[in-house]
Amino acid sequence: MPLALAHPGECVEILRIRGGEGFRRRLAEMGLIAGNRVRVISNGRPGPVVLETKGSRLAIGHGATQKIQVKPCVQAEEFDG
Amino acid sequence: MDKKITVALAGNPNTGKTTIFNALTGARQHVGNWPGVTVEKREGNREHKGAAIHVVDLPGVYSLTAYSLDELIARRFILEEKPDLVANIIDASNLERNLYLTTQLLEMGIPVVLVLNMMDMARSRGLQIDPEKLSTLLGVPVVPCIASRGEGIDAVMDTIVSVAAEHKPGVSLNYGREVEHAISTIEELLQNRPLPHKATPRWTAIKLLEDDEDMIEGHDEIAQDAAISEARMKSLAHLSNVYGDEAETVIADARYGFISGLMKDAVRKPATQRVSMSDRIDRVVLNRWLGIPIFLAVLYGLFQLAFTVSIPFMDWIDAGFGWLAERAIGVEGWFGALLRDGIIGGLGSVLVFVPVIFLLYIALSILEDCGYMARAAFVMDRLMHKIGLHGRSFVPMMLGFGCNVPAIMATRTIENPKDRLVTILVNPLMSCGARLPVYALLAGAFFTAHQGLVVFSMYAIGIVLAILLAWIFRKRLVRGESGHFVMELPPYRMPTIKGVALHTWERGRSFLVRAGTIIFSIVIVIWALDYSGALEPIGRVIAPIFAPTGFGQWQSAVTLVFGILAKEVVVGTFGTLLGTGEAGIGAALGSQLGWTPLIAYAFMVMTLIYVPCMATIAVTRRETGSWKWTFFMIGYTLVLGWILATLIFQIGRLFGG
Repeated sequence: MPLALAHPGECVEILRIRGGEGFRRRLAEMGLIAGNRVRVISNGRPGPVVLETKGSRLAIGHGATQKIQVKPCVQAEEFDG
Repeated sequence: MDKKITVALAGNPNTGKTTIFNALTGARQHVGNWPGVTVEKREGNREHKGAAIHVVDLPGVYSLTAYSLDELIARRFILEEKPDLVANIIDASNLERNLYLTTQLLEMGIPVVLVLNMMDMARSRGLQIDPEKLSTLLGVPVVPCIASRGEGIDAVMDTIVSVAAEHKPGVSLNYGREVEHAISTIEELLQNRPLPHKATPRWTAIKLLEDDEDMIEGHDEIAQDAAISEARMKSLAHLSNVYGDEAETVIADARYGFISGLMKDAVRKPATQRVSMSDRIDRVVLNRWLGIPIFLAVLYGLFQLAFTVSIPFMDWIDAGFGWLAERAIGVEGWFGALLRDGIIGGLGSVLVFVPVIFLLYIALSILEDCGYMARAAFVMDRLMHKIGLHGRSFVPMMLGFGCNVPAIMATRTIENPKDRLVTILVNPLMSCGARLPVYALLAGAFFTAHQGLVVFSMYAIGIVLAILLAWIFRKRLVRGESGHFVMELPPYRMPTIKGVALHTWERGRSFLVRAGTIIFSIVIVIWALDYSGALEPIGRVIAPIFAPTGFGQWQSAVTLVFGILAKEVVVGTFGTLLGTGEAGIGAALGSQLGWTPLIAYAFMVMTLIYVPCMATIAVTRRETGSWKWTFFMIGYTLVLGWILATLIFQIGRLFGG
């Protein structure tokens, strides 16, 4: 599902990120790569999604939340934080 | 058996789809693979009320995009095999997310039965769902059930049989006028031709607009068709122009909008959700609609605060220079004149503004340290996108409120060279601390009642012009793809006194150093030129140019020329030329130069816009590596400043200002 559908408090695993090379690289620098798990802090849909990864908070812009495919983590407690 | 019904089970993972599949088919199941792939395909049969029902369990999916194999399998089956209906299994306790798939099923134009599973879970979570209301709004039957206890399975089967007989699809989502127009344009071109996966023209059109990978890359005969491709590109460009977002996002938003409408009408949620303080703040300040007004309000409050708090401090400094001036009265000759007009009048009127500048810097430092600055950049991202830049360009612009020199150096973080150039070119429009004395002086003298508002309007005009010009420049200098915005949000925290003091000092130190060195020397040079009578002829040559702006006096012309050296000098030069300290400048401008509030305002706008100071010009040359762009910046700011000042004066005069 797109990241836009994730619930606040949910742990999601990143499946795939679509978009240009630069966009993907920037996300990767911030720890958003396929296979990583992140915790969704808030979802201002339609608007930014704030999530937590590697101990820092990221705000993901409205358009980008549609480009990041995620799935709920199997066990909600685990995330790479 | 006269009737044969094929029903596909679609739903998110973990919605009890398998339980329902087992309950529907019992022992008569067949497990195989989907053609060509190793994804398990489960089928089963049963009889119900004289109909032979063939049940196909689709892979569990959240949506029907082209981005995962499971989703492709599910949507191809529905399109190509055309089952009589799709039973959409929904986790009622997680309704909002589950309905996203429902909207996509409805888009396919196939009859749907909504099976609300896990009603017990929903109830225990305090969700009150009205199935009838949901059914009316979606235009499809809605059957509540609790599959784990076998409750409602018969009703599901009854409904499957009756829906198959009617064969009526649910409501068609409306994506808004612009998107609908784009859809129907493309839809028309798709009529009467074989479409991939036997899809409907409308569905194909939506997928083309969504940049669906399977549709664009997998089916050249459609995507490469000249007429279709042209209509698609035109629609995409138009939509992104109108909405400032890609069509894909706009379409997804329409689905979310539809779902939140459903949730409002058909579901009652308990209002208890525990969120942390920081999240609660973010929810408000990052809100799509409130974000920008909040940002402007914060900025405005900040200026008001800086002005109110600084008044007593400014009075003290003023009193100090007043005391000095009294001592200087007795001093004879040129040295007395230098002391009175040069040092006290010129430097004194600049130094009086040290408190307000420091307070503004303190406020900026607090905003930065508490974590709001990053949020402001984020909030502005949407607006920045519309002008072809992104939020990253906003940080250097905010820094420009301090000083344009470090702000222009901060553009180094912008990867795209064109984005960077545009950000540099518009940066001088952000009112730096050095321009504040000019605003403060003139607003204080001519707009006593609305001082804060007038000064705030200068900052606002600067921001608006910067955004407007960035948009124009971006259109003129090659357009490019501007990336999506991702930004790290530092946690909110209480700013420490030490941190704020340090950041304030970093910013404010340069002002003091400049006041003590460059500004001091310039003021003395101006005084010397004035004392020797050299300034007036120079001023008289330039002044006529400014006649249409209302400040066509030779003194004003001189201040503007010297203001290029450093903007604070504008105030100092007036002090020297009018032979008065800060407190007297306003009155002297009125009595000696005949200034009105209107002229003062036009002059403030001119000071805001016209030619950046020497330091900014130098750093622009260094960072762009181009004299051409440096001169372009000097040229456009000069012309723009003159035009706006003229407009303000001339139009204002018509209204009797």
